[in-house]
Amino acid sequence: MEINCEKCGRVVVLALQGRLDTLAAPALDAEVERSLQAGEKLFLLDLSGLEYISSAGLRSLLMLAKRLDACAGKLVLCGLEEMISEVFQVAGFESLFNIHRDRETGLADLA
Amino acid sequence: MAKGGGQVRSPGRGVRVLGRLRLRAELGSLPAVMELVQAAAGRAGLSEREAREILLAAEEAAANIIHHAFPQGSGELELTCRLSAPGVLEVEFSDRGRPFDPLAQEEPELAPDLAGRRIGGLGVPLIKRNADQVAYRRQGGRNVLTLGKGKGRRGRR
Repeated sequence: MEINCEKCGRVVVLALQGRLDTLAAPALDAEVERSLQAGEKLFLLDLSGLEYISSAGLRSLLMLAKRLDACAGKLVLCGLEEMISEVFQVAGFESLFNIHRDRETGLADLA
Repeated sequence: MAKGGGQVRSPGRGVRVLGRLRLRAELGSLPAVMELVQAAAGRAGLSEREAREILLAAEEAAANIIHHAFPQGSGELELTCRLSAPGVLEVEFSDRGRPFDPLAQEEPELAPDLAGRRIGGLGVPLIKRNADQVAYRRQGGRNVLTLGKGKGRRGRR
């Protein structure tokens, strides 16, 4: 999996590409940890390049959401492909996350 | 818990082993698991979508075995991919670890709010959802978990 990290105003934008599976999830955790340690509280995860997610990836997303919730931060997800949406459905994640169609609407939600 | 119709053949006849691997029961073995299942899915003629679904079920199954059947660390995991009937892929995990039946795990409570939601427990629901058939047996001191995926078994859901 590739992670592209950029800053749009006050928002940390992480674009994930490839497979967020058991072996890739720790890389996302580490990237997120760096930003959290730097005091970042607004996150947009662009998942449009993600082709596969397993429960380990779901765990990473849930942990981030919980941590941001606890520090009055905010997490928005965008660009979920079909496979990712289906896994979200099985996990009942749709009610837990702010999910937007694309980066623009996601960023607007965080503005 | 077979779902849907499909071809039925007498046991043993027409079953073809597509690949078999013996691996250390550790997360580092997952790429080899995925590679074999992916190749076997291709040889079984599964669609891209069906292949992705059985891959996900297989990853969750393997990760569960590694975490729960071998909580202390090392052990061995055997993976066999078979064509159990034309267009039907069977993925079997077998190990001598602690008895662990993923089908006996309680369904997780999927709280709809962040505060109430507990972390974990999503692997088994994903296995059940993405394989057509899931069967577990404890046999001769081994855990044997079988996942089945047939070509064109289910339409879009």
